[in-house]
Amino acid sequence: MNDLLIIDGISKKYGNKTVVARESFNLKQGDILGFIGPNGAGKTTSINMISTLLSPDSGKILFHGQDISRGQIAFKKALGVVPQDLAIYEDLSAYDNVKFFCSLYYLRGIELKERVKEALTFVGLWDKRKELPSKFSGGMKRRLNIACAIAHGPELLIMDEPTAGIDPQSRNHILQTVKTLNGRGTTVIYTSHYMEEIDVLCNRILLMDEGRVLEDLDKQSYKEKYAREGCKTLEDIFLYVTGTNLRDTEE
Amino acid sequence: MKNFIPIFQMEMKRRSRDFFIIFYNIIFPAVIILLLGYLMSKSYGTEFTSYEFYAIVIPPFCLLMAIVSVAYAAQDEKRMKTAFRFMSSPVSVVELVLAKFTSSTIVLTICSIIILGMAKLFFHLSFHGSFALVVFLLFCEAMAVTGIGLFLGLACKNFFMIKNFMNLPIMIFGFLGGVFFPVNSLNPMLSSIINSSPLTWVNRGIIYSIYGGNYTILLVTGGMFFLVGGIAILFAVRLFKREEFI
Amino acid sequence: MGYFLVVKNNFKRNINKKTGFLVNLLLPILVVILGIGANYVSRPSLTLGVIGEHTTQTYTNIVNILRNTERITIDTADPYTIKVDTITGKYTAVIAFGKEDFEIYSVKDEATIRGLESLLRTYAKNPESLKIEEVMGTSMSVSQRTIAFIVLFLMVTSTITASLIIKDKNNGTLKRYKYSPQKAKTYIIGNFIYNFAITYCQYFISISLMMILNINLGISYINLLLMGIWITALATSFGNCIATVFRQEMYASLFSTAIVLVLSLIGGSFIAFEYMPVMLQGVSVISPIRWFIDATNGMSYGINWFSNTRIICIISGMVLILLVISVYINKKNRVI
Repeated sequence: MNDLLIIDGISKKYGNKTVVARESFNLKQGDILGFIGPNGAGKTTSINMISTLLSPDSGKILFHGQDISRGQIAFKKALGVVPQDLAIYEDLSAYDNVKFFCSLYYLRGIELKERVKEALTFVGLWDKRKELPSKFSGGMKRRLNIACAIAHGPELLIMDEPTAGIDPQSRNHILQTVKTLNGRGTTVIYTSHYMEEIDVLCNRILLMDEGRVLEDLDKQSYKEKYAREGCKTLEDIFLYVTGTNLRDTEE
Repeated sequence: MKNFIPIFQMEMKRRSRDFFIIFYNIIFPAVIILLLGYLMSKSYGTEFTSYEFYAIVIPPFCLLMAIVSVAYAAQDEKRMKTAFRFMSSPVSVVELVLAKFTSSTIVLTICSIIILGMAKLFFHLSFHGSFALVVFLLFCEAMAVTGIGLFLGLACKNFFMIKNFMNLPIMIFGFLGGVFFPVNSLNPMLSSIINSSPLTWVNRGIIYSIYGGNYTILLVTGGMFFLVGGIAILFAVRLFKREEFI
Repeated sequence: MGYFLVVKNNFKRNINKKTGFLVNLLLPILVVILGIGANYVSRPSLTLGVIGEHTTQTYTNIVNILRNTERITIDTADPYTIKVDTITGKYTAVIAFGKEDFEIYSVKDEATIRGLESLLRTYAKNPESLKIEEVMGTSMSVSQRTIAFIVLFLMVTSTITASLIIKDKNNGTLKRYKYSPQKAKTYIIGNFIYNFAITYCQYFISISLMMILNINLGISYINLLLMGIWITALATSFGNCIATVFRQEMYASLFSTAIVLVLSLIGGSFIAFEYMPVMLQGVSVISPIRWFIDATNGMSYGINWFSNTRIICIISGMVLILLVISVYINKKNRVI
């Protein structure tokens, strides 16, 4: 598999505090990368740098070998982001929400309509397309949030805790959605605090803490490596590597 | 009313640190008095200066503008997503509303006193023994402003629609009340329109008290504001919408 | 064309809330019409109170002529409330007639009192009605005050219309916009076009209603419509700029009102430019209202809007600067 994304020594500092310190990893095409770490580890900052909302203080991010700081538009066309907080218009119908955000990726006419229909059907909201999100349940809003991010057919999809605060049925649906998307060729960076989701979904897991990458292994290698330490589950491994102390970090 | 005191204390802290209440009721009036006073300085003589005129009319106008800040302050908990905690605790609506009402009225009155003090110090505005009465009138106006603001913020279903336009009628009242330049007319129709502005009566009340020794308009206007404030608070409590608050 | 995506989207968002949209659209029109009406009806005038001897020839000559002088109203004053009546503006001045002569009581400046005295002495000798412009030097024309009023209100209401930008910042959709390949300027210009359309619509309906109601400002309809384009552009760019700076609608609304009021004061909305203190005359160049008042002055004499090249350039420059600031702030806005 080719390297879709190369993160090469990126770092970010706020004042005296180093939030991300010379982070490097490669993302291969077709991966579902689980991006985990305690609160304040630097996951969100890393994601914001990858999605170009923040500029790294140093280092490079290459997409298909091209520096994204130079070819931002081409990169953004291939990027989809499902933010942790809902980012939908409560006063537009589900259809109009997806249509508007999809149209920002230069899609027009029949192709646009087909993509919107495909995205809404994919997340199970086609029947509710004319309704306003203000009438949706939490799970439905999350699914709409995802539809807005995938309608334009991104090559790389970043999902930041997409299942926070929803019921098991909606969560299961979302996880199946991610697997199907990956099956169709979308590479996914997936962050979550639910280790069982990461365990089920991801083929590779990157563990961060205090701005540094601590481990970057495939799932099987984690289990083999830490089985000797008595870690049976991914959560055990997480707590073993990062410790059990509370993280009182500043925003 | 056991919960009144802690909520009142919190609201007092919040209101006294609210940048916009301080800006709109101390800094902004001072700037406008200076600006208008300077602008119109050539239009007035030495016996009664433009600075004195604007030191009288601007504080009540800025106090009236505080309806907007108070209405938003009423929705603080909704914005900060802590409303659910209030509604699920043993705090009664009366305690909540009264705490907000009392704290806002006190803070707004203190701001008005500061501005009047600055007027006395820097613009040599003499109150001729009517300072306490003027403060009383502004206190009553603060009550009315707070009452109406809380009613709009807590009990009004269409607050989201009207919040954007609350400034406009206040500006019109300002114009009619002679805040920017003296406005009066002997034409009966125009006179009625001018008299429809509460600021017309506030300004007249203050001027008649200070320069005419006649306190009737001031006391009646103060009484009306007191009544309006009381009624608005009653309605705010009665029509309080939990779903709007949460 | 990303701009029109934003425009179309904003219209869709508002049309879904029909009542709110109609209120947003029509209420400012109502306010502008009322304001225009109020300005038209309360044209500058002198209200004089009289006290004292009513039986002298001096009194008869003066008071009768004053009653026939345009824009002067006479009323019998209360001698115990002269000071408060002049301070509140009930009377511009009170004339106290004695047996032979009269005295003028007013809080106005020396020049106004002297002007009034000169007018009255002229009337005492020669009972022929005169124009009173000398006495009312600080007043502006109806058209100037009306246009200043319209600009002031449209700047405030434009900020209200631009509150969609603040909503986008708070509900996360601006963040989603920034993930897309669209540029910051596309978003700002799209919002500008949307706001411009709504605001010009409000202006157009207000001006047209005024024409229908026969309220004559002394400026042709075409000139008003053309000037309206620049008024709207300025109001819209100002509103958008304020909305990009603040994260809460209340702060944007209150701050815009404060700024507009100050610009209005220094721009000459309340006192003719020539009568402002010299220092403020210099400062007034930053106020767009000052330039619209200048243009109105010319147009009331029949000059065409496009003859005001200097003013058009200045206003266009202000619009551009505000747009650039909006784009820059939007780009730098933390959405995370």
